[in-house]
Amino acid sequence: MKYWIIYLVIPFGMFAQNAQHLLNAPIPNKLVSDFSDILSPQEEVYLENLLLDYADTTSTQISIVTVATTGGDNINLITAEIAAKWKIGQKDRDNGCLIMVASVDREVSIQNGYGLEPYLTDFTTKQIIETEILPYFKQQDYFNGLLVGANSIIEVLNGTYDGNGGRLSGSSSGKKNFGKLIILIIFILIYLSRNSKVGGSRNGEFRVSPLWWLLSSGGYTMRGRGYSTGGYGKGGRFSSSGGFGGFGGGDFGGGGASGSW
Amino acid sequence: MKKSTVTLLTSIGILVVIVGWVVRAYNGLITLDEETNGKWAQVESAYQRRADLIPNLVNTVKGYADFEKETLTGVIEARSKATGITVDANNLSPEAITNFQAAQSQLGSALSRLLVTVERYPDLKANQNFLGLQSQLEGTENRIKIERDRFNTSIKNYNSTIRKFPKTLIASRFGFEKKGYFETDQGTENVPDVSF
Repeated sequence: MKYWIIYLVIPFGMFAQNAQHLLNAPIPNKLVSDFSDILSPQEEVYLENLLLDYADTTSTQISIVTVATTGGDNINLITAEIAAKWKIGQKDRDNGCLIMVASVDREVSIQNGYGLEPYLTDFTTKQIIETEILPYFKQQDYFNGLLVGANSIIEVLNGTYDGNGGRLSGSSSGKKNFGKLIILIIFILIYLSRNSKVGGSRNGEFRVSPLWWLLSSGGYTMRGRGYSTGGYGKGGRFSSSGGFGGFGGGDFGGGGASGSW
Repeated sequence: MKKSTVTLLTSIGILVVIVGWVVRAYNGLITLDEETNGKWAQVESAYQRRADLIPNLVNTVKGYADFEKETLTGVIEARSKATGITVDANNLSPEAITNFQAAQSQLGSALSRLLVTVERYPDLKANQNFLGLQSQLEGTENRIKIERDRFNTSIKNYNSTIRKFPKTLIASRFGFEKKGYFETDQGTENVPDVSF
């Protein structure tokens, strides 16, 4: 503990800004952990819900972590180490994926579990980083970088990724994002209507239009509103705060790639 | 109860306890032994993955007419030497591991020389095929590093168990031998830099 003096100098809350500290810190009970505070709370919730939806439908857990620095470590190795420690993905399927951003180092790494290696090859990951994520990161737009990055990974795993980078330039980017928004809203409506039916039959109340819920909840904040029909990981342990049931036991072996901007 | 009966029962009791302990300790050692074998398989497959990428890499690079022939030959030779040395998982002796590591790190340095040379060929550096191979190679080096670390951890666990009293009595009686692990390569404590 020869670094103890640093703890006195840096403000509290910066502990987790070094990726090394994450190895000894408690495992977060959510998919998106913005330790270096480069996302707004709304953006964090948006990404969390996107990834939670995906984890609930496919059991593949994609997690995003932002830190300030890797503390001098190779970002690929520390990311794989953290992902293996947290056991992202399901046991026996090893279908986890961790996107790590070191914002001060200006580095990003995507590491995937053994089970995703046949689909998400290192080259594909490298392409996603270079052509999808980094153009946004270069403009300090971390949210959109992470959003297209996560969506590209999902597209690859669904078999629909076409490797057309450069979405940043031109008017098509707006259209595509709008399309994604529509899809997301449809997803939310489906979820809400499902949940409201369950709630209604049980309690005899809450038979409210899903659309009303959508508006009243500010569009996409759905924390604490159910999801408990899904549930993966650690034998169905649910957190009281809402959806995420914890990482499920996946293992990692160094598959993935990194890039810097 | 007669005194001799008491003695007999006590001896049987002690014998049962001892045999039970021996069986449990033996089975524990077998588990550790199997674990190191499993980790070794992972190490080998990570290295095999690297070896499998090389023919493609060589073919891609060869296409560039004036590319240094001796650099390529160096990689090809180092590869055949490295793939020639295999280690039986049932004989992970320190010597076997050292030989394996020596051959593999030769291949590693031949590869880094190749990648350094490539820096002088802008066309090659922009070649899609090459970029693909380069990122696969980078990922493979990470895999090797990770599997090696895990193998070493399992070996340290095994080695310290078979040398500690009292399990060392069982280990020596049933022929559990010390196994070798990877030393840090000289000058390659970090993953080789395969940067774009």
